[in-house]
Amino acid sequence: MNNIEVVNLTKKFGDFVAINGINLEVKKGEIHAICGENGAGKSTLMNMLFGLIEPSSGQIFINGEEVHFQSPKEAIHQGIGMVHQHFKLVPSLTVYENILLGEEIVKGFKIQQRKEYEEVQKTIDHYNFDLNGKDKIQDISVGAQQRVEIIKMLHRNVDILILDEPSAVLTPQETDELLDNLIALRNSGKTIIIITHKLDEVKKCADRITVIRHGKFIGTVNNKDVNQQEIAKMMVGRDVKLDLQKEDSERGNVVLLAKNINAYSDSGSQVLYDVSMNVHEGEIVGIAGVEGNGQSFLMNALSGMLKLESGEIIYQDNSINDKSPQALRDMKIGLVPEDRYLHGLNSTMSIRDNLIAGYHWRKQFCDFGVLQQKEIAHHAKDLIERFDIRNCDNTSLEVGSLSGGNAQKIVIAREMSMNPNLLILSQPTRGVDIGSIEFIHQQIIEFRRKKKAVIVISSELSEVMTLSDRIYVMYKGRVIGERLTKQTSKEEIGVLMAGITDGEAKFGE
Amino acid sequence: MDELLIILHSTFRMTAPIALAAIGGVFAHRAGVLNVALEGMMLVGAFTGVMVSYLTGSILIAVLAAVLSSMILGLLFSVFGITLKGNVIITGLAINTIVLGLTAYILQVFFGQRGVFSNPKIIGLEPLDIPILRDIPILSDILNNQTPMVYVSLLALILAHFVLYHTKLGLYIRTVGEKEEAAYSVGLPVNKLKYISVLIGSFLCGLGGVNIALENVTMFVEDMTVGRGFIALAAIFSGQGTPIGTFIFSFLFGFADALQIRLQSLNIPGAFIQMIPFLFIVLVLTVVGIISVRGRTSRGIKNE
Ligand SMILES: Nc1ncnc2c1ncn2[C@@H]1O[C@H](COP(=O)(O)OP(=O)(O)OP(=O)(O)O)[C@@H](O)[C@H]1O
Ligand SMILES: [Mg+2]
Repeated sequence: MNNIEVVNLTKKFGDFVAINGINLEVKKGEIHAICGENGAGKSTLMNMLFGLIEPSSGQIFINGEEVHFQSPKEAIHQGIGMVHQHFKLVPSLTVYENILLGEEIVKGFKIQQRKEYEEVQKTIDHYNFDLNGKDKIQDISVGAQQRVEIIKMLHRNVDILILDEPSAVLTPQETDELLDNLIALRNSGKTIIIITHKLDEVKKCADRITVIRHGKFIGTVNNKDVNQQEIAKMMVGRDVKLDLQKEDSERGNVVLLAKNINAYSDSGSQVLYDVSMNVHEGEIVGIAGVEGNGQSFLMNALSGMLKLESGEIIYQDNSINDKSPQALRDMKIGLVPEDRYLHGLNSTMSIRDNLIAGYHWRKQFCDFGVLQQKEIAHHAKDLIERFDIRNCDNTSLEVGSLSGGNAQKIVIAREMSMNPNLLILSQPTRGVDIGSIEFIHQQIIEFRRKKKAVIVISSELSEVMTLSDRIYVMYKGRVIGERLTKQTSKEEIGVLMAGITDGEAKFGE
Repeated sequence: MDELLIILHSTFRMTAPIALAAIGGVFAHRAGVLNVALEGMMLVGAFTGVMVSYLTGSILIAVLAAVLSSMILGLLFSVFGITLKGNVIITGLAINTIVLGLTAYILQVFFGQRGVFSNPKIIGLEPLDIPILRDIPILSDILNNQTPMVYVSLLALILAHFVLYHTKLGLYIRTVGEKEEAAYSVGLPVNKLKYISVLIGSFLCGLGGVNIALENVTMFVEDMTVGRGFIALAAIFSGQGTPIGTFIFSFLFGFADALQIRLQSLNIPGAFIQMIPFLFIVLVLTVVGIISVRGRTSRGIKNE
């Protein structure tokens, strides 16, 4: 029997058709993966099932009954729960308070905190999740926060769980744990819909897969009947090279050199210990590591957002210790920050303004303090075409209305188009579809071909392995190993990422 | 020693209006609404209190009317700032300006007074002599014989703490202020919660205003709140939005006020003495500011 049936569903935003007559059937007790490129309409489709957006036309049936949800509350009432990519949790509250939000247990006016905790812990234990009800959200890892979101839905007795890109922010270990949890939930009779760009995850957990492209239904297939290559082809509509070719490159002078840098976080704990690294012209250097081992802080230190306690960062023979990101960009260092919405974009600013943000003082865009709108619009058009950014015909729209992957492409396009000598990218393809990953990777390699230097920080080991010539592995704020990609293996890096070394002897310069 | 007790007694007296406004303001602050209209809400409370006391001769009706007038402003603020999504700072400042002008205008047009309105018919708030408290040494010198609002301010502190941390309402208010999307995602009535928060604030501001006008002096003077609403805001920020912290800072500011009054008998130009509370606030805010940025290592925007 079908748990969910969607018939001829359409959603228009103004003139733009985001979802175009989609039919979808989800069976009870299956894990159903939704795949598609950035901007294909996956999130929009799911938001309609969850009552966050109203369809323009078409029908939704839940257990055979037609529904018209006005709000998520009604969807939850009908047994549909959704976990968003951006969590909706209150950081200063405890796990149990967040789970019960809106459904507190009270006696008179007073909230029965003890009882609440016990109830929630019961649910957590029932599903065998690794969580402590009394922890505060702000103190637990991203993976744990996601488990809170899932339990929040399960505690409300939903049968259908929708997850929008759940693994985008998780470490590989956390992702494995998540997939195990989802499979266990499926086995206990829940229906699960998962949106993800990572085809290996799809292969691992899904029963069936539905692909959509440009808002249209392409097909639903059984997982066991297809391989990754075939899914990718359905998504993109052409063959996608899943592994990348890059020719050898002769490296030149040192471009950036970090010497024994130490740094502390705002809360006063040391986050970087004696980190030294360098990158040469015509070289791509990767920084690997399980997320949370100091890579983000290294990125911030390199991009002028974190004060150093000691040590020195030298770029083309000048110290850049105290330079602001703006100054660094003026020195031809391109910066792609880890969190596109926090440091990469201004979501309420227009697409075209975001495409020059940080470079808006350049003579080209700003003459005597006056922004050159024509030039800016022209520049935007040009980049959108060159970087194949989808669905932004109107460049005066807010960046916030773009899909996640397209928003990321805006940041990449902006930084690359300024033709920097050194490009520092953190999580360059997070939330980006495979077609676009291929494209971004090619662009990065093109940079190397032009004898530029590139630093890639990524928690995707495969990304670091395919791109880099040389890899530094970080563990607990230290660089614990350095390897030439050609002379190492995924396994060896993986071992280093876990913090295991045996009397490391460094090499190379 | 006696001197100290007198100053402490007067500190509680001076603290009451600031603390009432500040503790009231804590709710809007926690709901993520910056309410700069605390000042105007107090002033309208002071004005209405005096007028109604003069007209009816009943202190009870006067207090009720003061609270009502202040809450009407709260509603006005909410309609413009929350429902219509106007800029809350501009809305708040507009309310302050309107109240300042309107009270002076009414005073002149209807009561023929310029700047000050004082009349023997105005009934004030009498200090309370509390049985058990009066027999406790020291404490009685500090806390006995205060106007009712001093006790109300202490009660407000306890209630605010309970509501904010032990009831659904408080939990929801904190949720709305800290993560609005979380509130939306479980269907909490976000706007209604913001309204309630603002109205709790204006309720207490009304009481604070009455206290300024009807304790001790029993008269209305143009702009007689002289920035206490903003001092209350400073107390909220310094106290990081907790009722207890807010009260402590209100008390500190009240102390500076009391000190200023005490020093007025000295032979120093009055204007200098009157600066003391404000200098003190600048000092406190500077210290609070330095403490909060100390040890920060990230440049630019802080990761939230
Ligand atoms: N509120 C909105 N107003 C206008 N356009 C919108 C709005 N929300 C989404 N869109 C557009 O609809 C299209 C589909 O967006 P959606 O977020 O569903 O994509 P997606 O498949 O989830 O992509 P991604 O993998 O990048 O997250 C995008 O082109 C987006 O720009
Ligand atoms: Mg999406």
